[in-house]
Amino acid sequence: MTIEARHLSIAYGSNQVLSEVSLTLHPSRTTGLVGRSGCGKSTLAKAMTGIIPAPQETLFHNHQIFFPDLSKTGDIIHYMWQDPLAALSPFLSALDLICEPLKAIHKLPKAERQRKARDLLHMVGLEDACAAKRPHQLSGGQCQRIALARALAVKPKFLVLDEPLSALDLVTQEQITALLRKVRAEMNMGLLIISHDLQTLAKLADDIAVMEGGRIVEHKETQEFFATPEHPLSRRFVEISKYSAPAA
Amino acid sequence: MAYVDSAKSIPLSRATSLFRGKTTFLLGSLFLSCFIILAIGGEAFAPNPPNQIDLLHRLSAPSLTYPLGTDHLGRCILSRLMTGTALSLGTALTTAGLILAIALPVGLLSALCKGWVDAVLMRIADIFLAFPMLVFALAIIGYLGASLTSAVIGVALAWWPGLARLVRTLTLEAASKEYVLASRQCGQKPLNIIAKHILPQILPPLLVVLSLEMAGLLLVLSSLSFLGLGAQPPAAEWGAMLNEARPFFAERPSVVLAPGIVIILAVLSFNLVGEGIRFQLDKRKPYRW
Repeated sequence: MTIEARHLSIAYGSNQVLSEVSLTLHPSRTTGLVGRSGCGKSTLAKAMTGIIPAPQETLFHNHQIFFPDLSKTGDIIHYMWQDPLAALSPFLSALDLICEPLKAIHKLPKAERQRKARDLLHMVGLEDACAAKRPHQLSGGQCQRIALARALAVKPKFLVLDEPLSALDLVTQEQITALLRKVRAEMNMGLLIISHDLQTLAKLADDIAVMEGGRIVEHKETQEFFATPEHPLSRRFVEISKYSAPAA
Repeated sequence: MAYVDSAKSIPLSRATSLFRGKTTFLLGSLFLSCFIILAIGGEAFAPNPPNQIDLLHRLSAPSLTYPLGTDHLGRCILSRLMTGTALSLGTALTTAGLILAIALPVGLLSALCKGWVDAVLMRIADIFLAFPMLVFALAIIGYLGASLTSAVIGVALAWWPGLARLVRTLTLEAASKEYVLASRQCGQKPLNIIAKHILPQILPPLLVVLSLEMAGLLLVLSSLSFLGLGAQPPAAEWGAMLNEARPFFAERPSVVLAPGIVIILAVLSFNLVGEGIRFQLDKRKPYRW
């Protein structure tokens, strides 16, 4: 089972955001996507999940043409937004937000979905006290964890995480990294993680793709990527990540 | 010198800001509460029966029996004003409700369906908007026949396109919010998304606009009654009272001034409440010390 983008090109007027991008997501496998700001990482992820329309016959699910539709294919490939506060309704409590997909997609009865939602809250390291709070009453990190719990409630086959650890402290980053590893293994879920933090991707990703100017300029297994980066931008990223790592 | 000037201006700006904020809302609410109480119990509080004719005291000056005097048929002006509150405000509220009932679904459908549905609905709205509002309302009333019901229908049909366009714009903005897209991704059905995510966003600004429009509606409906196209005699409606009193203005100005002042106060109270709500909801408040 795969989700695949083949020669995907997207332009906004004269601005070519993606040019002939090809990328395949596999179940139980994590792909890291890195690149400088504005290189088209989020656009690629949004096109693959149906948030922005992609040209026909550029997306494939199990080698069949795939028409991502937010309302219908959210449980096949699901996008978790970069800004969790903007992606969580200010009118609903944390518990209701997590219950939303449990009711709409999994059709669970009220008592069961509330129990399941509390389990998910605990799974992402949040206490029961957060359940009744609305997003604006929570910190950025707590919102990010609620967004993750909500995405896990959907149980998609592929989960796209746009900067999932950016608002979290180091301890929580470690917890979420471990959780994502566990989820990937238990749910057989394929992950696409967009991140600027190569050290996190080194821990999580099986392969890393580097984007520049709307193209994937390098795509390698993680170990190989860190050992022999070829593209100048990849070399620079690896160099900086080694430089920013504490001395052994 | 400039420093002294700016220091002097601070208390004034504070007073202005206070007046525009809670004070405006409270003042408007106070007036409006009085009107609502009158609308509910106007007939019980009225000193005289509103339609009781007393030809011996026609166009009389204010007295203990008739606190605001009498009209050309000797009816108590104060009693008619008090009992007319329910009809006048009720008509304006019904018209506002009817406008909202047309504009809300049209605006929502237009914004959410997009494509040809949006194009067709907005072109229909454009056709309605092409006519001057009052002329269009007069044409509809002319077709339906002069009555209060015709006036309400005529004004609502002439008024909805502007509000529908506003609903469409607000919905387009609300529907593009990331949390609405995220909710769609979580499998929510369109009606649930409208109820849970879109209406809570668009209703507050819509109610502000509607409360400001209420003043305009009150004036238009009173004007239509004044022209004899709305409430018909002997109904105690403020506009109709103005119309009936017009020939006697020179003889007894109070017969015209009393309903005129009440209309002004009602319009003012709606404007103050609308402005107060708008000010409280406005996120771009200037820095206040």
